[in-house]
Amino acid sequence: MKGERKLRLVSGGKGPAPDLPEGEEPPFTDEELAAAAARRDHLGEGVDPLAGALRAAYAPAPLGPVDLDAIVTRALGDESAATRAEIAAAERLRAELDGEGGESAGPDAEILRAMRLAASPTDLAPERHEAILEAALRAPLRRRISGSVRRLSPVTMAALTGVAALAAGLALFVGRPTAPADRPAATAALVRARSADGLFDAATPFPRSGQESARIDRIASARAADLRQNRFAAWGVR
Amino acid sequence: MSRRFALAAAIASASVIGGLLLVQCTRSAAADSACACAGATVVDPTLLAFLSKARAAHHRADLTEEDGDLDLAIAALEPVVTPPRPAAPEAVEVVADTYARLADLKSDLGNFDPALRDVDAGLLLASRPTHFRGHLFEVKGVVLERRYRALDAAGETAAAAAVKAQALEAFKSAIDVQDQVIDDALRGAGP
Repeated sequence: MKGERKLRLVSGGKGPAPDLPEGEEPPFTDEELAAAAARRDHLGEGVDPLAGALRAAYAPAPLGPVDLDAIVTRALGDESAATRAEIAAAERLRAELDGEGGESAGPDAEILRAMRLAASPTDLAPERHEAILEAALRAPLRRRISGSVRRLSPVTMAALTGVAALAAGLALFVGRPTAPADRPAATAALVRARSADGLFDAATPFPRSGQESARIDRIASARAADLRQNRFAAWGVR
Repeated sequence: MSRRFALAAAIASASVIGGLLLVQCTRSAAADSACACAGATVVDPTLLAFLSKARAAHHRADLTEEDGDLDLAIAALEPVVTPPRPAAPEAVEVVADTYARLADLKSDLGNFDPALRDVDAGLLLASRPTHFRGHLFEVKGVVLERRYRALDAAGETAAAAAVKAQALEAFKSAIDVQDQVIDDALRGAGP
């Protein structure tokens, strides 16, 4: 081990570096000791899944009779059996959903709580409601006040120009002399829908059976030509 | 300053274009209303779409009829007589003609009552003396003739005779309508 370089704590520059000989470390502070104790307790609770997995891999403990029974029961088909860890996790989730976990609720609990609220929403507290409304109303007002002076001139100009353009359009439409004589001509130029009887020879009645497709072919072709004519008329093509 | 001016100019240009578009829209609206002012039905894309649908249905029925599947032919034609449909006279006539074909097919399968109902529905639509109305009476005669033969084959002589009389009456109505169509055409052609 001789000659190996060891890691050691380096002070963050807040104070003068302690004058220690090479290889020596400063004693742990009370804060560090407290944090280490808290971490140890946390790991001992088995809450952290990674820590639990590492611990189980490093020093596997024998299965308790309850867990063993649960596993065997489940293997035999009864899915209702649960291990101690699962029961504890379920209890934690229940506590979080009931709000007993405070702000430290996990992501699962957050999602489930959101789903529950979506399915049966609760009323907002009056104070919260008031705060949301106030914030929503204050933001645009602030923006308007700050921007109104700066944008007054271009907006006024644009508005005046827009009004002038709309007035000009209205004047053009209202003031345009209507040509009532043109309108019947335009209508008359369009081919009207009418009986298809004229497409067939009056002296030749329809055959007793068959030829229906030939008849509809003739009607559709004739009206397709009529529609083309109507389109040209609408475009002003003569 | 120049940025503000550019912004103002852009908004003003947009307003002018908007004004011009308004003029164009109001003019086209006026033109459209002029086309429809008389309430006349003109040949329009809706009518063509319906005719195309009917044409496809009849050709489909042709193919299935060739294969001997009359049920499929009936199923192909049913959408043509199912509302909605345009009110244009030729569309109504196409529906009436389709009812006639449906009646022919159904009676061929021995379904005489539905066939006669189709004929009646077609006659309600083709109320003017046209080839379509005449054809419907003719198909009615065909349906009744088939029923008569079925009853006769079953030994129901009295009922068969009654139906035969109805068939003769239907064929006579068909001839009357066709005569009227020819007379109208000759009168329209002048001396």
